[in-house]
Amino acid sequence: MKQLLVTAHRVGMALVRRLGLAVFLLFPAMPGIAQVSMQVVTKVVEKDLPYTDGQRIRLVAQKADVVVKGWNRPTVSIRLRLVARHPDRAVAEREVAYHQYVLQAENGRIELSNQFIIPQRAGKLQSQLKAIYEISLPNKALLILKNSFGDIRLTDLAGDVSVNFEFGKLTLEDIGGKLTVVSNYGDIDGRNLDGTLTLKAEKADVSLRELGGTAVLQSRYGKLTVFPATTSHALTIEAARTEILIATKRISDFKFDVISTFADIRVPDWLADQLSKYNGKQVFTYQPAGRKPEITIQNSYSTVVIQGEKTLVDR
Amino acid sequence: MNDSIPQLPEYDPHPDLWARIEADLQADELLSRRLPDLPSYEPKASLWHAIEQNLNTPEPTRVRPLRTQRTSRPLWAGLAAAAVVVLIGSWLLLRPEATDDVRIEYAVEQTDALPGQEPLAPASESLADKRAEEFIARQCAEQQLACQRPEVHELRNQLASLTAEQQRIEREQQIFGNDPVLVQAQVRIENQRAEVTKELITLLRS
Repeated sequence: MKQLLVTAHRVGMALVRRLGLAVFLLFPAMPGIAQVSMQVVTKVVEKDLPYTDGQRIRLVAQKADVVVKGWNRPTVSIRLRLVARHPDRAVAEREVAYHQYVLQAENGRIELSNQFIIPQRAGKLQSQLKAIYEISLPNKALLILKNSFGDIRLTDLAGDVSVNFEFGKLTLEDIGGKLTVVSNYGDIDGRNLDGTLTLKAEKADVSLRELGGTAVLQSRYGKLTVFPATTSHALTIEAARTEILIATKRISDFKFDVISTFADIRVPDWLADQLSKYNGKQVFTYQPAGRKPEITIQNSYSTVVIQGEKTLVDR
Repeated sequence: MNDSIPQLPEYDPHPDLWARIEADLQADELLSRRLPDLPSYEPKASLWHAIEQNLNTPEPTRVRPLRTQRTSRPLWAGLAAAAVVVLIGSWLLLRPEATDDVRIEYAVEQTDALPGQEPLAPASESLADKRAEEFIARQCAEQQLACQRPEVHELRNQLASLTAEQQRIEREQQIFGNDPVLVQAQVRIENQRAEVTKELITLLRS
């Protein structure tokens, strides 16, 4: 009996040893799975600046995530986080100093910016550097924002906002007043926009839900999805090579004037007779009774889809 | 040389350009025509005389002592001035620190992979890219008409701007290394380039 137990024990140990070896052998084969501790060193700068009506705020950001929120206090409140990430804390600590920033009022303007100054002798950067802005400002403020390689989020603004960005994503929520957006390779996700919107996008995926007010959207390449609201005054789309989808709750809430060259316009079956095709060109004109906001679309080489309430049934 | 001419980008002049040139030409002509019509004025006969007289009157010279006599200031005035300078100077130096609230925070994050461990994406031009480029150039040299179609033209411009953008991102990667946002941007450009290249080749083959 005792001998049996000892044998069992030996077999068990051998098994564990062998398995242990197998586990040990497996590990270097999948280095991606290994967890790594990242030391995150953050320089946090906080500042409040008084705002007078009509004052211009200019934010020139680089590789930054930007969150801007409107409030009803006459103050611009900024929290800037300058981050360096590296497994070695000493490296992150040294390189967090490569972040440079300006947060100040100058000649009646508020200037906010960040950049990266890497000393010549330092060679290639080792940490991952990024800046994060959290800004609260008067909702009627005049804001000019520039950014690249980062995400931007704007909420509750009704002044005059102008955004120019490339790569990354722009999220817009509850925006009125005047809004101008220029995007290169930057995706846009908007909800509840009700003002004057001018958008110029290149190679971007744009989605606008509950789009009211007056909107002029220019797009080259990329995708454009619009859910127009009945509060819309007019929607004009001047596009080329852009996949366009207009999804309405009820198609008869809007007037349509759609022209597409070298690509199809798709409309619900019951409106098929409003669609004419000739010589590589398709035109869809639809004028329901009464005063309705007009949707004008021009596009080429890519499909325009108009959806209404019946589309789901049609499919 | 002749082969490369069709590859050059085409530019359309601004529609108003001729009108502007014409307006410029007309303006010159109008000016020379209207010149004799301008009225001419004679100066007053006594003018020269008056100027001459002014020239002859000698300017009175005034002698000023080289150094004004030192007025004795009390010592306290000098000390006060020095104190003001020190106060303003220190205020200017310390001011940014006083208004910016700066602090350093430390944290540790667990991530799956080390940055920079991933092999760098292949250099801007892979072999297939090169072949595609050669195909497009050859096709354009052989069938110049096909290559002059506006849609081909447009796509070739797109391809050129995408290549420029790709090189820009590579330059950024030289500085920031394998930063995730830069890799995302690179992937996006690569995909777009692939799409445009495919479309262009399909157009040129048809």
